[in-house]
Amino acid sequence: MSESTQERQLRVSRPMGLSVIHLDMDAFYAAVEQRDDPTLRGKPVVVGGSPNARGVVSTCSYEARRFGIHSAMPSSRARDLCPSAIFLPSDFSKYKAVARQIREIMGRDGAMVESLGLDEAFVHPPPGMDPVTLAGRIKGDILREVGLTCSVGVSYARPLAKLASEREKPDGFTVIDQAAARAMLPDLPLGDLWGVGPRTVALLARHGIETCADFWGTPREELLTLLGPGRTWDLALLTSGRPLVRERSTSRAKSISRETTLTQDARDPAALDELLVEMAEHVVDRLEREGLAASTVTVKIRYSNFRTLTRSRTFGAATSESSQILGAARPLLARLVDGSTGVRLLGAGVTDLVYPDDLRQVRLFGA
Amino acid sequence: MKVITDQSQLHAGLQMAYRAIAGGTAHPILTGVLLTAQEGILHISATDLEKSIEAVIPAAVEMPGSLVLPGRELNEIVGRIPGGDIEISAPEDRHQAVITWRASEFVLNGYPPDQFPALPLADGSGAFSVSAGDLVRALSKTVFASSTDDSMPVISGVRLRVGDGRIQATATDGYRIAVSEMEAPGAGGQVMEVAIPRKSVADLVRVLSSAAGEEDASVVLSENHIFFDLPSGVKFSTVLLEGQYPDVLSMVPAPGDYRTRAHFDRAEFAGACSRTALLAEDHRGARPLRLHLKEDRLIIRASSAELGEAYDEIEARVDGPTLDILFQAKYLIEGLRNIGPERLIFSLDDDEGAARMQGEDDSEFYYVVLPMKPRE
Repeated sequence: MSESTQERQLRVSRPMGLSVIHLDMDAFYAAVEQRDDPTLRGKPVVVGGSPNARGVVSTCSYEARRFGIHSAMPSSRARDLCPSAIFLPSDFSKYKAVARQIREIMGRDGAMVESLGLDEAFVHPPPGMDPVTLAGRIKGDILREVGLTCSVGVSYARPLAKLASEREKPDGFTVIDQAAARAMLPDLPLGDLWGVGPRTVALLARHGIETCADFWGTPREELLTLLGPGRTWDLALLTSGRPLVRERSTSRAKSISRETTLTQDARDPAALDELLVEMAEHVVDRLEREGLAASTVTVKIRYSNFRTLTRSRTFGAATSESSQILGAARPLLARLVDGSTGVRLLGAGVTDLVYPDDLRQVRLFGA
Repeated sequence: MKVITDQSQLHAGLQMAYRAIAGGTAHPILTGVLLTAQEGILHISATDLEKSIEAVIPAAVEMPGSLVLPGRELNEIVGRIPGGDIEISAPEDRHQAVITWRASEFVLNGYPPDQFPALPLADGSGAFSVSAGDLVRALSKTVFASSTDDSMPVISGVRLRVGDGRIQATATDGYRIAVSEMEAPGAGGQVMEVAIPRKSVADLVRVLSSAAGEEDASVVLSENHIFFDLPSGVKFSTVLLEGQYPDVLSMVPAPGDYRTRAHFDRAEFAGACSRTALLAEDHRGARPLRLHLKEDRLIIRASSAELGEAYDEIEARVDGPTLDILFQAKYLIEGLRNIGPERLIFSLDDDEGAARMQGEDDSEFYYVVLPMKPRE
C-alpha cells in the first residue's frame, strides 16, 4: 500500500524533542477524601450529589469505578450499581487548597503552569530542563508532600501529553516521543484526541472515519466538505501527532464557563443547585488563578425538550468572590427549575472579564 | 398655486431643504417639503422639528399658494429632469400637485399646508454677523469630539461662544476636548454661548458651505433656537442643547502650566500612531498606545497578547521631564487630523493628567486629551 500524504508528512517532519508535561490528579476529590479519612481507603467513594436528592456524581474513587460508576452519572444510578458506595458532598474549599499546593509544586523549577482546572494542568519546563526529569520530580513531590498520586504524560505536543497521562491511570508515567506517536496514532480513535469534540467524532463516524488512519485515508476534498478548512487543518495536525499552530492560547478570553450534559435528565432543584455550585466553583477557581474578575454571571439550562435558556445578572463592579458569584447564579437557576421539567444540560459562566492589566480611560468629569 | 421655475434652481433649493426632512418613523407630513409661492419667489421649507431649512428661488408665480409635497419623491423627480422650465400647479381645494416638464407629467399627492408645523421665528435679541467660512471651519474641526453618549445630552454637540470680536467652538465627550478659536470682527461686544446638537452641526456645515461660501451669515439667537440667515436667501435654524454646558477648559491646565513639552512632525506622529495601533490590545474597544517622551525622541509602542508588539519612534525635541503615558490610539489620531499644518507642540504634565496638542503655527485649533491608566 502506498504511503499516504499525511504519513509522508509525519515521516519527514522535523524531529521534535519532548517539551510538555500533562499532569492529571487521580480521582482527585475522592482521593483527597480518602487521604483525610483512612476509613475510606480501599472503598468505593463517590463525591458529588446525594443519591436521595437525585444528585450527580462529580468524582469517584477507582474502587467505585470498578462498579461502572463514572462522573456526571446520577448518584441514584451509582447507588444501584454499588449499594455499598460511600457518598460524600463536595468540599470545594478543601480541594482548592490542595490544588494550590499542587500548582506551587509544579511551578517550583520555574516551569510555566497552564492549569486546566483544579486537577489537571500542562507544565512547560523552562529552557534547558529535561521534561521527563521534571515530571518525575513533580510526581514524587506531590506524593511526598500532598500524599496523592497523579498520572503524568510527557510529549512534544500538548494533545499527545494529554493522551499520555491517560494511558496508564492511575499513578501513571507515560512518555510519547515521535516514534511512539507514529506507532500508536494510526489505530487511535479520534475521540481520544484532546481537542476533538463529540460532535466532530459523531459526524466523522457517520462517514466511516473513526481512527486517525481512517482520517488519513479519506480524500481531502471529502474532509473539507465535512469539516471546512479550519477543522480539517487542525485535525490533520492532531492526527499526525503534531502541535497545533497555536500551541498556547494567548488571546484574552471574553468569558469563562463550564457546562455539564447529564447522562439522565435531572429534575430535582437541590441536585441541580449542587451541580451548579460545583461548576461555578470551577469558574471562580479559574478567575482566581488568572487574576481576573467578572461583572456578569450567566446560567444556562437545556430542558429535556431541548429548549435552551440563559439567564444572567450583572454586578456594579467586577468580582472574583465565590460568595458573590454563587449568590447571583443560584437564584438565577432557582427561577429556571420547577422540579417537574427534566433538565439535560446545565452551565455556569461569567462574562465582562476584567484583566489584571486592564486599563481605564481617565475622565474629565462625570461617572 | 401655479408656478414656473428653472429645473436647476428648483433642484438646488430642494437639495438644500431636503436635509431637514425627518426620517422614516416621523409623522408623514415631516417627510414633506412646504412649497409657498408668492411675489416671484418660491419658498421651499423642511423641518424635522429640531432643525429647519428654508431655501428661496425665483419663480414665475401665476397663482400664489402653498402645498406640502413628499420631499424625497419631489427631489428625485426634479433631479431626473435634465433642465428647462418645470411647472408646478395645484388646485385650491386639492392637496395634490401636477408637475409638468415637456411631455412628462406627474400627479403627486401631498398634504394640507396648514398641517405643516410653523417654523420657529427669529425674534431673539442677540444678533451678529460672522464669516460663514470661519464658522464652518470652527464647527467641522471640533464636532468629532462631541459626545455620542445619550446619557450625557448636554455635551452631545458643539458649544459656540461668540463675542468680543471672537468666535470659539468647543466640543468634548468627557475624554478629550477640541477647541477652535478665531477672530470674528462681526461678533460684537456681548458674549453669547449656545450649544448646537451634534446632529444639526453636520447639516449646518453643509448648508453654510453650499449657500454662503466665504460670505457673512447673520445669526440671531432666541431662548432655545439659533437662526442663520445666509446671503443666498437660505435660512437655517436649529434647537439648542438644553442645560449648562460644563466649563471644560477650566478643568485642564492652562497652556503654560505643562511641565513636559515636545515638538515634532505631525504627519510622522500620525503615521506612527496609525501603524502601531494595528497591534494594540483591545481593552473593551479602546486600543492603548504607550508613548515615551525623552530628550530627542518620541517612542510609540503597542502590544497585544495574541498578535504581538509594535514599536515606532520619531524625532522630537522634548523639554522637561521624560514621561511614559498611555493614550487611546483613536483619540490621538482623530485629534491629529485637525491639527495643522506641519509641526506640533505636545504638552504634558504627568501620566494621568490631560495633554494638549497644538500646531506650532496654528493659533486656531487645539486639542486636549486624557490618558488611560491601569485599572485600580
